[in-house]
Amino acid sequence: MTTLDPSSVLAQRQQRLARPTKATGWTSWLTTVDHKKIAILYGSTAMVFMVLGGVEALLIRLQLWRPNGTVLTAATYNQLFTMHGTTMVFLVGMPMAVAFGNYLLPLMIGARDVAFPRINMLGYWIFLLGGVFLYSSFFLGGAPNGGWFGYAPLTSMPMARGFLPSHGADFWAIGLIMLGIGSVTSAVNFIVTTLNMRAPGMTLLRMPVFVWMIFIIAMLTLFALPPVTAALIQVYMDRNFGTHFFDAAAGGDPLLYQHLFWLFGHPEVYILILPGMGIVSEILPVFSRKPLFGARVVVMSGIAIGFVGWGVWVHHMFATGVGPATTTGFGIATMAIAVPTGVKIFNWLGTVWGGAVRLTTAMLYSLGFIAMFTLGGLSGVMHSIVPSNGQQHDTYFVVAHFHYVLFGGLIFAIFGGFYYWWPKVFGHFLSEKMGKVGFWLLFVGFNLTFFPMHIVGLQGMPRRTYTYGTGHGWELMNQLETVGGFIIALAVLVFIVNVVASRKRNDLAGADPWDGRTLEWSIPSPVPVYNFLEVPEVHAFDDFWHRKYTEDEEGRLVRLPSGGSDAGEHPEGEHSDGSHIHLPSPSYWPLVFAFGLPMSGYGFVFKNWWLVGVGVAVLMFGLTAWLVEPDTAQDDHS
Amino acid sequence: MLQGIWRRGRHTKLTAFVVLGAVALAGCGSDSRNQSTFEANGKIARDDANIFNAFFIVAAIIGIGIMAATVFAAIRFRSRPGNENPVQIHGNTKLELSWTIAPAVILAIMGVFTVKMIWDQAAKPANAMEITVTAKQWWWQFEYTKVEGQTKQVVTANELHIPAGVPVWLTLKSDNVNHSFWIPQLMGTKDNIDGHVNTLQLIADEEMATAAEVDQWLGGQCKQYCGLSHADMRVRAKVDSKEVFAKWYESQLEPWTAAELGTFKQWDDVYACSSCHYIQGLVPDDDAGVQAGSKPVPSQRGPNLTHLADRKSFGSATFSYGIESIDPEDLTEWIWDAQKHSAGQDNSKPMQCPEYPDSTAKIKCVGMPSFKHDKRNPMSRETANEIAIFLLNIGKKA
Repeated sequence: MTTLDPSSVLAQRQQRLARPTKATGWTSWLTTVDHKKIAILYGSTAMVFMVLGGVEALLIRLQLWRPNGTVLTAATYNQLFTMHGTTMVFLVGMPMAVAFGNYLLPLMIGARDVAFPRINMLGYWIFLLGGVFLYSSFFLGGAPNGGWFGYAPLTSMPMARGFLPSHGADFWAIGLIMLGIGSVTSAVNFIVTTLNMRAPGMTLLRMPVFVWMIFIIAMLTLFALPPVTAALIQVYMDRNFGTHFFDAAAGGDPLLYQHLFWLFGHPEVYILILPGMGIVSEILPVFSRKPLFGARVVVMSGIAIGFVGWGVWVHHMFATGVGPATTTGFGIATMAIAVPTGVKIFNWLGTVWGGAVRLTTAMLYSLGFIAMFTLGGLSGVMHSIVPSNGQQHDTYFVVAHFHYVLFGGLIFAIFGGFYYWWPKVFGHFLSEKMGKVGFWLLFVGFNLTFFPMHIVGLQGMPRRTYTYGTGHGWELMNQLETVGGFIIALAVLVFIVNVVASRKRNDLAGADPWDGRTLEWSIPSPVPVYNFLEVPEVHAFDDFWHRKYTEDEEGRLVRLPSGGSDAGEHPEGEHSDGSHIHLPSPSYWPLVFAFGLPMSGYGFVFKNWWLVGVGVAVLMFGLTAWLVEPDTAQDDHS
Repeated sequence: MLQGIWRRGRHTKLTAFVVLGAVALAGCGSDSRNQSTFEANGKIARDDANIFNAFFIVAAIIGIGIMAATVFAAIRFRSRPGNENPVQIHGNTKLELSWTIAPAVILAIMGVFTVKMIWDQAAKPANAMEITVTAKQWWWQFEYTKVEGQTKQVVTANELHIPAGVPVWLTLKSDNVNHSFWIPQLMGTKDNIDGHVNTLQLIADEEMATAAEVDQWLGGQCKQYCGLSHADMRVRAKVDSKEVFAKWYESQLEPWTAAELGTFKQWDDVYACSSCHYIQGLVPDDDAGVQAGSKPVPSQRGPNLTHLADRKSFGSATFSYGIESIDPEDLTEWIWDAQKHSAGQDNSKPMQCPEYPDSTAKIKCVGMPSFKHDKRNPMSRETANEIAIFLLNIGKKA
């Protein structure tokens, strides 16, 4: 009888499945589990997709420059508007939130990493490969062309019936299922990190508003993705295996799809916008030198939105004939959700009011956010008036509305966030001068593109149309929109130039360049790999601020004599470089695991079961190796 | 120089506002297709516009107020030497309550009017004319199932004739993907969904009966994305006086003459036109059944072509759009190579009819096929032209 020596098993595993150790060089980016590096990967990849989605939008705008345009064919146009929407929602909006959340959430709660570092990396690889998978459809017979909402039965009719004669809808269904898996991994990670890894004293109500918003969207993601995933599987089955989930002739119901989709789709809107609200809730107090007005109310209204957001999905379906009782209920719920949203806007204004406002680029974007998001919110409330909704539904008025929310809201916040946290992430400032030029270009371009859409929508122009006739009086508005679109492109270009130029100029920022309030400003820039040399102890909301300032009897700010950043004030001793801090080791397996998904994805699209098998095998191999690889790299803790 | 421009700035701004306003007005006014919601020609559309305008004004005041406050705060409270350390205000319960309650009250008022109108519009009006609107890929079929003073049912397509001042109750259906029926100056949209029966009411203004003909034609189009030619799935309504409508209605019941049917047969034998299009007179039994409402329309992949000559446009109200007769040259192009025209410029592969024209087999076809590219019997342009002229002269020779 032989006995198994546990230590020799471990040694064997460490030899055969040794974890990578490189922390620098480009290969380290393939195996990293550092939440900061993963955040940078998320952000830069989403930026690339933003440019792709933007190019699609510009082509759309060129086609609509004049009536009966001939720039694009109907077939191409339909692919482009589908991919523009899909890209901006799934490959830009959601991953950008994950990028900011990934970088900042652990720093803001005083943690050294997220709860599941390897799963974190897996989420990124699924996002990247899922995006590449979707875009590869352009070269494999045609991109998705059923709209980002992919209504059945258009998308679910078997290809041979000729309604959407390409594999586009299969790519779309499989691609979104894949991206959904990635989103759920990051949602789980954020939830567990927020609940379990807060520094001592960081109670839930002491958490920064941004952390709260990420926590809420993680919850929303977790519960919103199952219904849409079910719907996508049903679409795929209807298309390829003769099921009849959405085929009325065989007893299915097309409306079922819309319920499943919007049960995801409306919370999705909040998944996209709440991180933006979180970002401006961090920026406004810093550049007003005042605490966030009614911080708890802002958090509570975010939670309220998170709950009520589940009860409004039918407002996307007022035209589907769900009946007066249903439209009444959902109409009122939609009006109700405007209340917590309005509360946030007023609290942001209250924050700026009476402050000492520094109009930095980040602040300009945040103020722009308030103004533009307000407009988008108000046109959104207009949609809850069910009778007149019948007129604006599916016209350019709606396109204007949600671009004011998601572009004027989310994208403005993202750019504001870039300018605000860039020094923390990369150690140097972005040029404020170019930043302001970029802001005004974006502001003007944005309004020139999307404001006329309100008018042309009320003039009766429906969305998702590749062309329009003469005689409607839509020409001028469309031309203004196209010009605006190119100004937006210029603004994005200015940002990219700014990134490159600022990197070259390397204007070092220091640990706390903006006089910040939250914990991330208490550590050096760029953030060391271990984040906090010593895990901080938290005593208040805006804890770092209270280490620097106190208030006199009149409530005016008074700087504490020795307050400020403790960055660089490393305790003396042999471990002052942080080398004693145990960090998760890098791993190859998330990447291997993730590669299995698109492989089997192509197999499903083209019904090649061998390929599906190989994909699943790769996935299982990655998973097994992941499970049995040693907990740490060999030289760690030797 | 620079300073000069700067000083002139104020006037430039004013001019810009005036110009923008004028442009917006001009934009609204130049809608010869009558598809803009800025104008209403029916009760439902007017109600929609009124409730929209009322709350638009409220929303505009709130919106401008908030934007002005944002700009004001950013400028007024700019950081200046001496005020870098402002009074720290963490919140204010009274303010929080007031800006929670005030919007809630405004929304509650809005809700009351909204809910009332929802139920008003959902109710079927008494003595309504009833029309079933079936959405096809990509066109509309209208079946007049209940018309006062008429016993027979009319089947037509894409141009909806209705009498002014008479309430109309539409039943919306689809036998394929989702569509949405919308004629903005009459009523808001409602979807056509397979397996569901939706309803919509409308009533065109009395004054429409005496309006100029060009103003009696109202535009609309499919609003739910339905695939390749979604943008080309348009619709028109023609509002007539009751007398003109009755005359039109009776004319639509007429079948083709034996002579017309004879001429048609030569093309029908080759291209199987009637396997997709309903032609009244071809099978008198079918006509009787359809007009009595006891039989479905026999061929309804394409529109009823019997009275195409009476229509003012074709291809789902997209081509030859006007109030004159359809241009024979346009129609020739359409019959010859419809896919090219309905799908923009792409005739490579989008709409395929793999089994066409084997009329004994089930034809799988989305949209009108291109007879020019027919594998067995490619159509010549001359033939297409002959068919076009024939169709546009039905009922006019006599």
